[in-house]
Amino acid sequence: MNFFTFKFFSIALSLCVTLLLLMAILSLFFVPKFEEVLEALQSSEMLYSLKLSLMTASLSTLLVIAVAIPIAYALSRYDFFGKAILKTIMNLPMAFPELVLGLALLLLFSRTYVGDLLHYFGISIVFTKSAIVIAQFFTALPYGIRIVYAAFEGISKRYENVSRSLGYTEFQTFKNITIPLVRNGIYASTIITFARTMGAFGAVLILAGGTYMKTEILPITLFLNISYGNLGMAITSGIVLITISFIAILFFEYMEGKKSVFED
Amino acid sequence: MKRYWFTTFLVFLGAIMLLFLTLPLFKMMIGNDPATLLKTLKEADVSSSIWLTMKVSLFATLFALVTGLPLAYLIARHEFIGRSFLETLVDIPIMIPHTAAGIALLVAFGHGSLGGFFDLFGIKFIGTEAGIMIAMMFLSATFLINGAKEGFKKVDVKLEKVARTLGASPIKVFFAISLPNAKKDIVNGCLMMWGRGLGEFGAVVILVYHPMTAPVLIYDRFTSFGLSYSAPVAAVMIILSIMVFLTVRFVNNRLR
Amino acid sequence: MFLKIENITIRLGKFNLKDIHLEVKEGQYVTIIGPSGSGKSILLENIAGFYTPNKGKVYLKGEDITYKNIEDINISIVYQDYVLFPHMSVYENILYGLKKKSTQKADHDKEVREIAALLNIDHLLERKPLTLSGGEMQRTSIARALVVKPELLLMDEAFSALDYKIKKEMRKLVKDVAKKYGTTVLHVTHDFEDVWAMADMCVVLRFGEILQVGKPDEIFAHPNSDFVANFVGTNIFEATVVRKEPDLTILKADGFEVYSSCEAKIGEKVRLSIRPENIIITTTKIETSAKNEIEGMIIKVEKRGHIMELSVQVNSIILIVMMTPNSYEHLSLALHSHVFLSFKATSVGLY
Repeated sequence: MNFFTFKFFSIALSLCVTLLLLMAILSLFFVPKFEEVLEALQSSEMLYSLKLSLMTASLSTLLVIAVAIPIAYALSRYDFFGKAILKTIMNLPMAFPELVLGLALLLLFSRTYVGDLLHYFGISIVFTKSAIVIAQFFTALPYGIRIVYAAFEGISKRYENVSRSLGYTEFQTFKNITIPLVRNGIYASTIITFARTMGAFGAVLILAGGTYMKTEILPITLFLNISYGNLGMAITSGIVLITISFIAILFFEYMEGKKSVFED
Repeated sequence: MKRYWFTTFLVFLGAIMLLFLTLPLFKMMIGNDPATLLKTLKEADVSSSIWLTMKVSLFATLFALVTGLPLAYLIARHEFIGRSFLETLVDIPIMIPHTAAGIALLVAFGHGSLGGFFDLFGIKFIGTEAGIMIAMMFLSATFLINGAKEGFKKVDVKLEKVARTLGASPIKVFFAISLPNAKKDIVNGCLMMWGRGLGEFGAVVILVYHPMTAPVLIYDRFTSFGLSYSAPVAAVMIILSIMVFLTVRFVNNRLR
Repeated sequence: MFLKIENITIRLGKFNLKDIHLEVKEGQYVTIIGPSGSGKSILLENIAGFYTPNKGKVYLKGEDITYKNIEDINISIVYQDYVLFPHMSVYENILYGLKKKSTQKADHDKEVREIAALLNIDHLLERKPLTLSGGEMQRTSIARALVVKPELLLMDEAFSALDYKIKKEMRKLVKDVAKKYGTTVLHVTHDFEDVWAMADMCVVLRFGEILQVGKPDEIFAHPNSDFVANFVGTNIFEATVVRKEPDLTILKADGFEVYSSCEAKIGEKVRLSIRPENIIITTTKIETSAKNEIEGMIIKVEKRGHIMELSVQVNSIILIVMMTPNSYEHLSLALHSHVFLSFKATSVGLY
């Protein structure tokens, strides 16, 4: 086999396939008519969905980061009983289909004592807007923890050792030394988590129900409109989602560049 | 033993998360006794759906392997203009919401220019296994390519250079040196991609509702008949996912 | 006893410490040497409180600090990679530990500037760490560690990343400042020049165990085992004790007699050790007070910068001898030259 033909052929094939897939994304932007997209953007359904998406995603992102920081810190800095198990469990939701996660959450809130407890207080979760936040939260949490963990791992433990030896408690060290050093990493994690929560679909569909104009977020708008055959609306939702993801990716790359200043 | 309130607080938080995540999964699995699970498995549409999902994901993985390995090798070994752009490109599919990816594929491969192009060869993507394969590939190939890339990076360049000086052609070097040494990460990447493919929902449900993959079947049953009817299939999927997960861990340790 | 380490055992998988026992007097400068993986850094970090031992205790000024919180113990540490807080200026770095002390805030500024002047970094106070050179960063690191007047200063390979010339300056500087403040220092290093220049006492560590403790002279001239001898570069060879004279032990090595001032019983088989730099090499027999005179042939010559390292064969034994390149030329020595080696009985160690 000639070097030229084999290598050339295989690389050509891979580039072709990559190109094909790239075109797939681009086609979403170029195939539909501009006026159609504009019209769809201004529909009440789209506006409602966009607003709800942004609100729920912002809230769940905040929650994910707030929870991820202490957990990731503990995983990075401490050795404790059950650490390996915790790590494995943290990774599990990524192995599971989002749909299954949705079903699991539904079970949790409707068939177990958790649901009963909440009902006692008059709080219902299933098929409400809160469900969206919860579903987004659990979908994005493992990824959030992963990225924040990586950020903490990038800061040498020695900084904290020195701070402690100079008289500062763990928490004071965390505040004065760790957080400033890991700040950019946290920003990057927040952005990625936001993109994830915006795109969460399977779990939200099951737990929140995807009701038209009630628990409708962008991915659901897309889904519903495909089922009706409203291609225009569906495509527009897709465009909005992809645009937001792209902006997040660009922001993330920018942040990644900035944070390397403090890392070893 | 030193105890700080900070540490205990963190561990406590982690334990709560743990509980939240594992409890319902557990319930779902033991909620059904093994008899129900087995019965579900035997139902025609369930077994054919699971078989379909596994089969198509396998094809997607194999196809990605053939087309992705050279790409991964290229990125790992050679410097060229636009390399980081290519790397980012490879990472994009997993950053996009699945549903958006689904519709992008629908538009591109459905009736558009690309769809028409493939139609000439008799390949249709809407409502076919090929469509499912494309969706799975698009969303999960990143894992395979990145896994392979890392694997190739770990292979010492000097090994390859020495082989070249000893007279081996680049292809021979690739197959005899690079590939075997990167084996572990490549296999890892394949398993991850296959596992992800099994669970792919958002893109598949947009592009190809019928024939139904396992996740789509679960959803379909859920909307039609409710939780009790769909839970057993979900339980089966969980068990499958766990098995894949364990296999990955096992392979990881074995190939060390 | 100022610092007492008792039966410390730490198991960390890859690095372990086994039953470490060490006593350090106040104001002493102790260097800890040993091959990589011997647990030197772990020992240091255990004393600082970063690790709790599986077994054993650490006492500082009589107080058990084994399980005390790190922030409650006044021990400072200086690392090889400086570990300066990148988001703070030099001034703020040095001030950091001071802020936690109960002294008046007004004094803080004075103390920071004082120690900065002492370490020649007072012109860098407003700079950020990333803009400094290696030597400047290390001096800042040391200033930060010393300004809080620690009871114990720990240095973990603190000079390893610095240029040779800077190292020499640093050794003098640190030794002077430590003396001025009366600080007790534990300095982990793999550079013997640090030991020679600074140490009051030296500890040899290997595989988590202490092999020898003593003044640098003692360890280098009188190692207590093959490993220590090889590690510090001392010549060793076998010999048997044949007779004794007042204050002297006479032994027979391979074909020649050796006089040692160390004690041993007649008939004992021992190892003799002699430092390369304690051997005088000449081309003719000379009259000296040295009791030992043997003949041999140069079989290897290595020039290492400003030192000539000669391997001299005496029967089946090979001894390493050091001399300056000038002397080498002055004596017209060369490979295969026949030479005379003389050394004092007091230079000959025994174990």
